[in-house]
Amino acid sequence: MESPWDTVIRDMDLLTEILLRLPVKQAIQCKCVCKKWLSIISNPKFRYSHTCRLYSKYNNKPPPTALLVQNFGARRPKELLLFPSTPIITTPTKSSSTLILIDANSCLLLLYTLVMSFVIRLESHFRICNPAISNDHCVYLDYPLGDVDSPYDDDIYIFDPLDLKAYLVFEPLKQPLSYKVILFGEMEAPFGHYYSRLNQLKPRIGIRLYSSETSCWSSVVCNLPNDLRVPEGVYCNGAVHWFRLDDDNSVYFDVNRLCFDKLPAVPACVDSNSELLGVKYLGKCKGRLHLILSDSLEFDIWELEEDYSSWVARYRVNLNRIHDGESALRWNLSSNPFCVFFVLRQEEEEEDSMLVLFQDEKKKAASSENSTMKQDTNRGCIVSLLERFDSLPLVLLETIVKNCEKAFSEVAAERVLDDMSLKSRGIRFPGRHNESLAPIFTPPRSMSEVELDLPRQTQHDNIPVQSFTPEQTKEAFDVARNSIELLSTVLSSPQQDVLQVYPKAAESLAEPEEYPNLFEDWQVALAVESKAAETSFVECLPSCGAIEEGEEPLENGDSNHENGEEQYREAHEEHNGEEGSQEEAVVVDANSTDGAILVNGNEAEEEWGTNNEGGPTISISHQDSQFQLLGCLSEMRSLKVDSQMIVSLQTILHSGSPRPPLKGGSSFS
Amino acid sequence: MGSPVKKIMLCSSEKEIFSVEEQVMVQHSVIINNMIEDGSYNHEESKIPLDCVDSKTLKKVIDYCTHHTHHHNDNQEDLEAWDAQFLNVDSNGLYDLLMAANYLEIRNLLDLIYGTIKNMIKGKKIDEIRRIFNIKDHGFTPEEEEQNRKEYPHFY
Repeated sequence: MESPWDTVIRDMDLLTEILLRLPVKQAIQCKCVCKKWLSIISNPKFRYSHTCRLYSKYNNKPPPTALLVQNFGARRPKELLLFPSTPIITTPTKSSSTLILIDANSCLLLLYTLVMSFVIRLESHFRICNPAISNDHCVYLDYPLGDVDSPYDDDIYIFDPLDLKAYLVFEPLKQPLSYKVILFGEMEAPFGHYYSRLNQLKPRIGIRLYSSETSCWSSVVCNLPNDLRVPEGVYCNGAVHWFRLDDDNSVYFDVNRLCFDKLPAVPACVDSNSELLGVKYLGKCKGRLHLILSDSLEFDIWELEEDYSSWVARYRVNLNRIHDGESALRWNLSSNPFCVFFVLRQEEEEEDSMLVLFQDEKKKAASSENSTMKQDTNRGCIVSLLERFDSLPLVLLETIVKNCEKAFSEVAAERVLDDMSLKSRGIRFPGRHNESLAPIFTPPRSMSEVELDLPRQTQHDNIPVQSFTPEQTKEAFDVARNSIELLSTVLSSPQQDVLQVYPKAAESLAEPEEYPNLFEDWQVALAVESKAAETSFVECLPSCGAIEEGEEPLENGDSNHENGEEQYREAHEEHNGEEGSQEEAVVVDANSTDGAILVNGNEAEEEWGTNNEGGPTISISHQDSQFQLLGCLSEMRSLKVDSQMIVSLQTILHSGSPRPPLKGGSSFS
Repeated sequence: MGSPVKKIMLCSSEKEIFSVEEQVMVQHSVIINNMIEDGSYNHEESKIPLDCVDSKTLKKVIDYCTHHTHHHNDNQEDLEAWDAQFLNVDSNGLYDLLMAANYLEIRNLLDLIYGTIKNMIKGKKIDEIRRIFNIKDHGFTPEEEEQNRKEYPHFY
């Protein structure tokens, strides 16, 4: 008997409509249902529409899909890593340089490099870069040392390079072609200057604004609030916020209006004895500002309304409950105050918001008999704010923390990791079952089994500590590696797609036919392409990178080439045994690399959705720890929409870059 | 008070005639809206033939449009509950509704149905999906199928 669905399944349009509504993970799975589904889901148009749906679903704020990890460790950070072994940004190889990731906003990163020798500043500058493009495309911003347009000739204030805080203001959906950097800093008289010796000039706050449209810094003159503590500011939605317990000093600086304004008072401060409260956390997630004020283990997480009218208690967290669960994690406030790692806000009904906490366990660890544990130990606990939460961020975070000895250089992964595959092997995630709140993080320096077991024996007798075998970790990495594909997809953006959304950006893209001098490899690429059409898939593999390069010469040739080639090589290796007929090539595509793209888009929808829309900066900072991790979840917006943005970014970068933006295509074999 | 409520005639595949408020259908169905706007519908004598929609389905579609026109101010939960009740039909009924909604271009109803079908797929293993949609010939060669199963055992 014919099922009524046969007609639906036969009708491409209807089927596409249905598949478009699937979450990404499911969509990828559905590629295996049959060839027809595979062809629909693999179609770039489908991906584009799918992404567009994502965008509209999330009010044009799709969740981030990539995790960026800064290479911190025993030695000084030198580079940032986007995906495994893909260093994207490196500092000059000076031993004393420090690279600080300041802000990640959508596709752009703002970095601060400081090279210090004793007390003398040798070099410090900001860099704007796009992680999807390579190193060469950074825009260097030398911030003005003193007052650029000070009315006073004898003004000798300069910025203290150690006491600066800058924020990247980039709203790709509002102004895709320009960005701003707002810089707050303590200004003081230069060291050794007679004014400073005389103590006649007190430090003051200086504000500078860099606009990519004018390519210059300008000084912002406005009424400064009293007692502004520069480092505490948090950027969110076009404004920098400072929260202070005394309401008068809770302000925000609106970057568009260039003035300060007051934040609303938090009801808790008014109600209770506010002197006891401490600001535990101020951060943003998904375009919202979150605040935790706490003097106890029970606290509210406040969220600022979008119109700045009031703070709303969004979650109530009671850490005392942890005592009751199967985990006996002790939260001893007096000796081991916890610090809040970050708050992840969740909107999708399928996921939950969560709160990540760190508690310093150093004392306990040190007092234990096993001397190997005397290192700094950070023990984190993820508290699910709703009933369930997804395991992937946990895996990810655990991976990071586990590997911090290796300076986070290994990965950090994309949360594409298939929890389906892990679950199918019976792997349990703490926190998922029975509301257990077992600690998630193993100590950073404990890689061996013995060490891993230690905390269990000493402190958490009944807690199943989840450890991952090398295979599992490797799997996570592998999946993450797949997401490199995302980048190359992003990079191969058709001009016409850009045209639809950002006509101006598209106009600024040069047509290779018109400028043969710019695109040396264009003709070669065309030739290769036409040849490739005739030859088999495998044969044309090596030249694929070149094709991409030729077609999209405005994109950075290098990164593109690398990614493209790597990916194809991978595909090639994987299916080495089969002599690649076109048909098999399709399968390869479907099962390995191609999936990853969609995963990116959709995993985001499903899971990383928890993270900031603006690309939150995660920071683990611990008084006693030797390391500091400033990671960042960057929105590598997926698929085509992404590419539009990146193209427009490149336009920005090219126009502003002091370095030669266009590189001739590298050779292809 | 002005003229009486304008009605239009819809004719199902069984030639049964349904009289509906014009406003209700115009608001929901793109096709009917176009017909009214371009004047191809004559209120005196025309009836709109819907040859691919049977009476039972057409009645449901009209129910849906009427309810959503008259209750669009209800709170969201009530509407959703009503929708869920509305779509509590077997797969044949759902299919008929989908076809009718597709034919009449009733966007909201289409969205609703697509969502329901999506939920049929969501969380299902591939074998289940194939069974639900009666996909017998998946088009993969045995080797490919074998490899897929080996690589993604959790999908099946």
